[in-house]
Amino acid sequence: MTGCGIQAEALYKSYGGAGGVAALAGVNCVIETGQRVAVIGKSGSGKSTLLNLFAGLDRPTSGQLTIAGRELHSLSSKEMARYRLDTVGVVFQAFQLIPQRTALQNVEVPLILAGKDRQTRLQQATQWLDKVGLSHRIHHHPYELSGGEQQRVAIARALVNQPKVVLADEPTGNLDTTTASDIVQLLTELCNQTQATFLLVTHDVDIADRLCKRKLIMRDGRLTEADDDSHA
Amino acid sequence: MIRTRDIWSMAAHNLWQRKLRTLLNLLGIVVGCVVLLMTAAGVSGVKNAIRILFDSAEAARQIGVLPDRNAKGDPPKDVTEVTAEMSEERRERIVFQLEQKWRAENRQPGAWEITPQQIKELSALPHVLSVVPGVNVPCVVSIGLEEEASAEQGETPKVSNGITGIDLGSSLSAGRVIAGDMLGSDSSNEVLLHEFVAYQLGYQSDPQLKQLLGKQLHVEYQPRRGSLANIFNMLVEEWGQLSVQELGQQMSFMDALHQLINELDSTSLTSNQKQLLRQLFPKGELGTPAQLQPIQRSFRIRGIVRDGNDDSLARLFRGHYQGGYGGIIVSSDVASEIHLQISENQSFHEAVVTVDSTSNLARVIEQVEASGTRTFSALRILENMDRHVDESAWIVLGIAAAILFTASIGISNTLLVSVLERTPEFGILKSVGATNSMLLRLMVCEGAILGLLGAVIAIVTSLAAAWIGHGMIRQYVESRLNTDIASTLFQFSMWPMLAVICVSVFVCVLASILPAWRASRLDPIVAMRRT
Repeated sequence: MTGCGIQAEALYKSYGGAGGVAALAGVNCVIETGQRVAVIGKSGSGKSTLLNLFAGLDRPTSGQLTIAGRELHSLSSKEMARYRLDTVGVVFQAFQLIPQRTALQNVEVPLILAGKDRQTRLQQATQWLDKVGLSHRIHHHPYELSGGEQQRVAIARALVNQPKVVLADEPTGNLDTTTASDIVQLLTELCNQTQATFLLVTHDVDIADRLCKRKLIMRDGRLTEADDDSHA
Repeated sequence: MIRTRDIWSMAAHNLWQRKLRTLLNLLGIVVGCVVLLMTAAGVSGVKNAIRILFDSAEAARQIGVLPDRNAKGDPPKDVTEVTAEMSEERRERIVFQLEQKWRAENRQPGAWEITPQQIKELSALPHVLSVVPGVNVPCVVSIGLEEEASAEQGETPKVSNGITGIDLGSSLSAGRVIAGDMLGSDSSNEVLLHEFVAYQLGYQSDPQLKQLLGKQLHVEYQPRRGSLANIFNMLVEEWGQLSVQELGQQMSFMDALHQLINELDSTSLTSNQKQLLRQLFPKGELGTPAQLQPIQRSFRIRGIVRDGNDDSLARLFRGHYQGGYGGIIVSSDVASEIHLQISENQSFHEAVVTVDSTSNLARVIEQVEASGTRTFSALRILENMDRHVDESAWIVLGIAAAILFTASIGISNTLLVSVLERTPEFGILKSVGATNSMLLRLMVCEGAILGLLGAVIAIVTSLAAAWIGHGMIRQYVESRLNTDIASTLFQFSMWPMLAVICVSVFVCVLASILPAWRASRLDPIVAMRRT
């Protein structure tokens, strides 16, 4: 792989102002473009905070963060929204689908925001739903779908704009073992197809092993390589 | 960048997904807009209906014209100068009275009458349909009987009454004929007889009335009345129709007065008294005894008439202007000819000008008064009615505005609740790339759609309500006024509709700005946690 997908330098994030809780305490990492990396850690270790920063949903208190050539720490609010739209795709643990919209309409949302015309939108959204195996459920609302199906819709939505970076925050956290396995399988296949940089945040080591060759450990707001950590 | 049409589409979709909330919001907007629209349409329609109603009542389109003797122009400053200490309101009243007094004291000599030339000039004014000089010639009438029948029945009954003229094209006389026909353009020797005159002449039953048709009516009238006749009326304290006996006394009185003035020098009156009498009764005005000989004329009775219809709106104005003077009715031309025959100064005391529409009344009045006459008409009544309708409209519009304002608070509140309810949705939209301004526009568009939809529904509802309401209100109004309402009582035009759409959209957009701002400022992470 060539080029730097994600680069974080002395990334700090604290909540509650001065003397508050430090969620990230100087994260440094470099993830190559197209690399698949898992961030493993216990609850409260700061891995979701790190993912939110990578997703452009939050800003670091200090430090530098460059993703796909964009310096996130210096982007304006509007540029950050643009980054979320066309550079990064996020799969959340709780799916985060809009209940009033059908599977097709949910996948269509990023395409609408990107200003695509209706025909293109329908074609691409249908295509992605087909890829995640939901071509027969495109007109169903989230409440009519199972957890696994909802997560497939969320994956389709995250990938529909063909982002350079895909982030997944505990994507199997709300699923049973079998369904989780299917979702992992799906994510593996799609990541292979899209060649996007993939960052998985999970506490499940097995899933991290299946999906990613490289693993990072998040502990007390600091990120370390899994190999180094095991040696330590 | 998201396309504008997609924002509108998303906004519409969001409203559609929350049907009950949208419906409740719409209800408030629709009620406010309907009240606004119906008020505007009602005011316009009622004003128009009143206008048409009054236009149909010919008397409302008539202007009574009288000679104006009062001085014209502004009085000298020293006349109206009020130096005493008083309130401004009282000062204005005193100044007005001083002006009136000055005008009366500086009356123009010889401006007592309206000449035939002035009548012609008035007829030539724009929007004037006709000018009918006011004529009321006291007379004694009797029915011309065959000689044999007369001999059998003895003395022919005589009745005193007045000759008056009517405008043949006037609708005021329509419906008054109870036997025979209305006068036509060839009726120079024909007359309409009032049913009461016929009754007094002995033709009392309905079949007898019909017997009158075609018979000759002998009319006897005397030249020169005017101020002398008025003096007599004052003396006998009688201002209505004089009896035959009183008419005879009036003629004798005028003869005596004439003789007195002619032989003034031989009387023992003082020089001051003689001068005063000469001043009051110039010889020219008294005429000569030869001129005072009664004139006799015969007319063929063409029809029998009654008074105007009591239940017509036209009655409201009729008494002032036309048709109430006498029971011997001839065409206006014939009446003018009779009047001029007995009038030495060849002029009229008054005239009635009929205008084509009440909307032109003010313009014609201005032109008529410019010719040095004074007028009286229904203009003030019409203006007052318009003003009252407008004032009422403002009150109702105020209520409508209050309803819309309340609705806008409701909309704002509902949209705020909606933002809270949809917080996760906004968080999700932000997480996939929605900007703050896009969410702001989305909410504002939702408000605009609500406003637009509400206004359109209100317009349709108003049109339907007007259609239903028109029939009901028309029935009520017509039964109260005893007249037909030709026009619709709710008159919708394009501008009020456009105004209502604009107001509704504006109010709803305004109501949505705060919720929209809150939605756009949401932190996506916090928002998504509320899922």
